Amino acid sequence: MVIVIVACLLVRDSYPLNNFPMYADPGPEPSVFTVVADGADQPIDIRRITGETSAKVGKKYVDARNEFARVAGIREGAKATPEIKQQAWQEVAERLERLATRRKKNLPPVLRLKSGEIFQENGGFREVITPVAEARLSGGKSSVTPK
Amino acid sequence: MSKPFLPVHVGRVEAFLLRAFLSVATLWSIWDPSRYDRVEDASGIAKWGVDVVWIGQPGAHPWALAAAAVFGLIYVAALWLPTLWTLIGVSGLAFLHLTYWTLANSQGNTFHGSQMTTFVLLLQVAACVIEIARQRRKLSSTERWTNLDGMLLYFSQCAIAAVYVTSALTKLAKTSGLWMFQSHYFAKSVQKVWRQHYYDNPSIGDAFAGVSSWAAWLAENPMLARLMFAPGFILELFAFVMLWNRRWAFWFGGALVLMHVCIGFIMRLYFPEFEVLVTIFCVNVPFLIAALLKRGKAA
Repeated sequence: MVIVIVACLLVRDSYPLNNFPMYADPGPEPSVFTVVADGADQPIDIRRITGETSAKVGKKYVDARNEFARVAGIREGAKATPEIKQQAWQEVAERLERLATRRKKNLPPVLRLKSGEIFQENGGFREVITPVAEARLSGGKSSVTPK
Repeated sequence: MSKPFLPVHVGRVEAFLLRAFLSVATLWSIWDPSRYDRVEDASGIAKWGVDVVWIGQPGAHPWALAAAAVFGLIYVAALWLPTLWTLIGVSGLAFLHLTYWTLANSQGNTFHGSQMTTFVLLLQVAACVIEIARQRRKLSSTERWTNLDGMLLYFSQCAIAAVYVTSALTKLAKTSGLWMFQSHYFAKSVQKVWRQHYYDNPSIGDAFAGVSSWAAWLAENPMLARLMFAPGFILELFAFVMLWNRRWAFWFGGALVLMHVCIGFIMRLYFPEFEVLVTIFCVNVPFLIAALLKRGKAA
């Protein structure tokens, strides 16, 4: 048991080793959620179309953004330039398009990523949603060099 | 009753049910065809160049399921065969489960619901290897190393406890030990999950529109929120106590299942594999069934 625990804590995330960080850091900082919308800014049924939850889409985007930022020499992914964010979202959107195609479903040609923040204050909540990036899908033709 | 924190002796009926239930749980875990047919961000064995993509290719899944069924049958039938057959059966199940979920976790996001099953299977493989080595050296059973199925149960409980204790230690590390004190901020997380559910499928997500009543209540009652979340954290941190003996495993297992049911009720976040494995190996339904059968026979 101790060996598994030490390995999980040291490796952090390499399947099946994981430090299980879900909800490990409750604090005053806002909680973040993801919204995927079409070109008319209408949120779409991302799970029904691709099989992926909005939370998973958010994680994929952060992972891709951090990777693109790392390649560009930016240590903190959150400080990535708008161009890098755009590039990362384009890549993730194309992956989502492939998943949708596998399920014989279609994504809209314009896919917008938005980030929602929930603040807990005065015994209630305040929600702010801001646009992050926009991807244009062209039937599976990638415009970004894959990682 | 065995000494604290030492493996127990497992009888034939209990062993049969433990093996059968784990085989079914593994099959269930990989039942749906993988949504993925390529690695986007390699994780685990995929990072080392091991091919996991094959299991997501069109037409591969029925074969993977058939192989899992065969390995499961070997694993159960090996109860009456030399240990090598148990090793073959559980290694096959471990390989298929590891491959399937490594591919799913190589997509740029981590899913936290299947690691426990992989750990249980891998630690059972380790138990078989040690048992075979002991047999070759002609070492007999001791109170620290009982029969094979006693060790399979013990190693499985170790795997399960490790997951919960790791989770609790991460919470302590990330909050400098203040997790319980800060847990009233969990209200925000409950609301976040509510919004995530809504934005998964907004056209049919009316049930998750607006503010979750649980989140609102927790935000209005921070002290009660802390009191509500503290037991879950304590359960996780002290999950290793389930290794004490069968009785502690039963009560801790039951409490952990209840914790997951409550999380499901409040946050609509479900960990079905965790619940099933805890029910099999900690609550130990196979032992309870075996005990009932024994009592029925005696009567």
